[in-house]
Amino acid sequence: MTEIGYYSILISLFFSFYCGLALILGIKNRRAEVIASAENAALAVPVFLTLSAAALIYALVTRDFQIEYVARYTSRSLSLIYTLAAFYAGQEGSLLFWSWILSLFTAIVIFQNKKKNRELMPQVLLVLVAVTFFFIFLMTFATNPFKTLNYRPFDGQGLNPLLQNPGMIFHPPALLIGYVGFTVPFAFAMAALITGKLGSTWIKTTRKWTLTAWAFLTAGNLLGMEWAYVELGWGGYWAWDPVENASFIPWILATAYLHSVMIQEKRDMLKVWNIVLIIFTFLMTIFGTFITRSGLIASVHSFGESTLGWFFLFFLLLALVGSFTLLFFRLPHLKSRNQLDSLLSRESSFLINNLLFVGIAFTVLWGTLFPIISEAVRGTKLTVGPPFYNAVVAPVGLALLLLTGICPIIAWRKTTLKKFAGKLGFPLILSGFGAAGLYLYGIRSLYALVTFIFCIFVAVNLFMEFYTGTRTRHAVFAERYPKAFWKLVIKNKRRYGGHIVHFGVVLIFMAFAGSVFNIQKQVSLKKGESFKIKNYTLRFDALSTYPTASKQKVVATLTVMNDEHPVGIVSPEKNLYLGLNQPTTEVAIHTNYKEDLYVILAGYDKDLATFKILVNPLVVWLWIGGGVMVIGAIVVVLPERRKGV
Amino acid sequence: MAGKGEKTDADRFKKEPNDFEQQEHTMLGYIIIFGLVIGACYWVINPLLREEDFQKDYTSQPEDILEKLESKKDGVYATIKELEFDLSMGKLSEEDFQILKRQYLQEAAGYMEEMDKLESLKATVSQPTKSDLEEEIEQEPTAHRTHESTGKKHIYCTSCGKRAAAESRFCGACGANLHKRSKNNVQEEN
Repeated sequence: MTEIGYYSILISLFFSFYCGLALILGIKNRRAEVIASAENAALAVPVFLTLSAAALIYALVTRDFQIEYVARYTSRSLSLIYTLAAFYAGQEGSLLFWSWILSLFTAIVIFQNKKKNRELMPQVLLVLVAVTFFFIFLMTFATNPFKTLNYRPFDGQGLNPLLQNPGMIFHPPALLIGYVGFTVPFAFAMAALITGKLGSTWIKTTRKWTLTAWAFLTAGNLLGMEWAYVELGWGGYWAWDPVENASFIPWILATAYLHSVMIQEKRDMLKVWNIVLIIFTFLMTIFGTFITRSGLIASVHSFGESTLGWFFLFFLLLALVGSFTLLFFRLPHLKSRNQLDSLLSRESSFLINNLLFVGIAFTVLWGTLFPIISEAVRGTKLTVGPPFYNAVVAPVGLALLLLTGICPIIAWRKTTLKKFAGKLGFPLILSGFGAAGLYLYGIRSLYALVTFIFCIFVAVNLFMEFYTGTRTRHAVFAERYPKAFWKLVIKNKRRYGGHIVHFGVVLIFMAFAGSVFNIQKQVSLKKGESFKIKNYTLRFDALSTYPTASKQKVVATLTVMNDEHPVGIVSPEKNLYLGLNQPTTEVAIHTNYKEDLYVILAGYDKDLATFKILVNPLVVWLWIGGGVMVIGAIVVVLPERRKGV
Repeated sequence: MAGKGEKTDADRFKKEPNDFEQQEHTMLGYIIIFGLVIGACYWVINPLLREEDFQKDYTSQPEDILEKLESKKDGVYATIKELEFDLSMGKLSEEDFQILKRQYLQEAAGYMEEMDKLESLKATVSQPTKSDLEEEIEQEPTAHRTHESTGKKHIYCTSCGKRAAAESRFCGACGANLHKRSKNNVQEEN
């Protein structure tokens, strides 16, 4: 199977090369049949990459340890699902996954545009196939997934225990699909620049691609947070690790882009800005990969140092210089016809929103690169920690949250101050009551108080949008309320789907604010002893040790009481995997809608055990909010039915 | 390439017993890959042999331009819809609404004019290629359809922008009364 897989990669390399060449010739000589041939070649690439992927999966499942990749990431005792997940556990496999998905996306783009955008397609395809070629090239000449060992080990090294978590099944593919998805709008933007067809066509064509990629990236990031929370065992979900940042930056830029394209569609403004945003979103997806492969910046995600980083750096610079040269040449054609009509308009609030998003992206990028920059400038590697990021991102994030609430009240073009104030009254009054209530409840942290007030304000505004909309439909079209509500959302999916996404954002901010009240305590207990944290009482009952096929398990059992009401048993674990020196931690989490009780078995002796116990308020709302965001995004991309009121 | 060179014939003999099965699978894989390569090559070369079929593909067709204008026009009407809803939700004053609506209607009228021009241009270009009989068949109902005052085959609904036959009373898409409005439409376009 090794040969099949490798030859398939070589063949797809050939076809993608041919495709690029034929496109260049076809575009230059205006020969439609050459371009059609190139299109067919681009359709052949996913066929062979699928074959290659199938060969790798076959090798993984049959445990063909002769293949180095299989020996490194699987073992005989590994369960089937993680064996399949090992496909993208390592560098070579994830590159195959990347190019495979990209080639499939390219095929979908070709089918979608058989009859549309004919004048853009050759250039779109050229960009897509160039990126695909780069990834396939890496697999053939730098990191071949089918590299064989000159002996056949009896067993493989197995998958890193930290990766053996349900997170592994969903987080990497979601993130990778998100990354790859942004290549499509980027390709269309480049095609628009090359052909000079700079209207909104490219934006409209790629709107759903962008949204889908964004939804995958959102889900991928949140799944990663969840994974870190339950698996890494330090009690949090986000640590501003370079690789976390690397997936956060494209997300932030893509979010800015999703907002700013609306201004181009509606008002024909911000053309250059949109192109710049999508270029940087794409570059940042490559940058993220570059960081993980280069070993340049230390991170939990690193694949270890390899020469691959330089390929990515080269590609990154090439894409940067290429796209900006194109942009520069087209700059005179990108002048906007319209101007802002008023400072108090939705356009200007979108503009502020964009500046804030880009500000966050730049800050995070700066912090991530700071170790490299400081080493270059001052000779010492300085790392910036969470305080740096929090100091900038938290206030800017809050400002964005506030805009989320204000934006829907403001109409396009202009809103009179009187009308604006009238709309603002009710939400402000409710927020005021909310603030008073929270203060009386005992919340004194300014940051948390401000966040909660903003959350209430935005939530009320969003609710009012649905409420007045439904009432209006009820009055205008004489529909019953449930039907009016349903029609309201379905007839204007973009706007109301967006509101749903924003509602998810509110929930997430609520969870962030909850982290201000995290309590953390460390305690050593003898069997039978109890310990009190906040309103929880934990009694240490037993410590048991037993071996399983792949590891030595140490399980502590604690009975949990919440204000004298028994709520159950938590059992944090320490696992010693065979062949690994470092024990891994399996935390126990007891969740309710108010807070998480998070118990870590930090250490143990005969009948004395040390626990790190945390109470993290409102964490569950982070995951719920994430789910709501993804649902909102799905509402937005739902296909449009043609006829309608 | 990388990593493939190490395997020698001697290694092949040392394989474990279950390798027989694997070798069979490998053979199957080779057959599949060979078949696919042949198929793909044919698939890629084929368009090059049918040069003339593709020549007309490259220049942009009037249909494409029409479609684009249509989508622009639809976009304008969607915006107007949104404005109407904003108005009824109280986000927009009546005065602003009227100003904006007039601007957008003018924009839409511009697109429609362009579309009409293109349609008539297309008709003059494509007519000679049609057979006499075809022409005859098409001409007859056209005569009926033609609008008395403007000589147009169709009009546009002013409330949703969809095209409708000139003699129809109501818009097929939104049900608006065309008879009353078509006059306004004509006036506006003039």
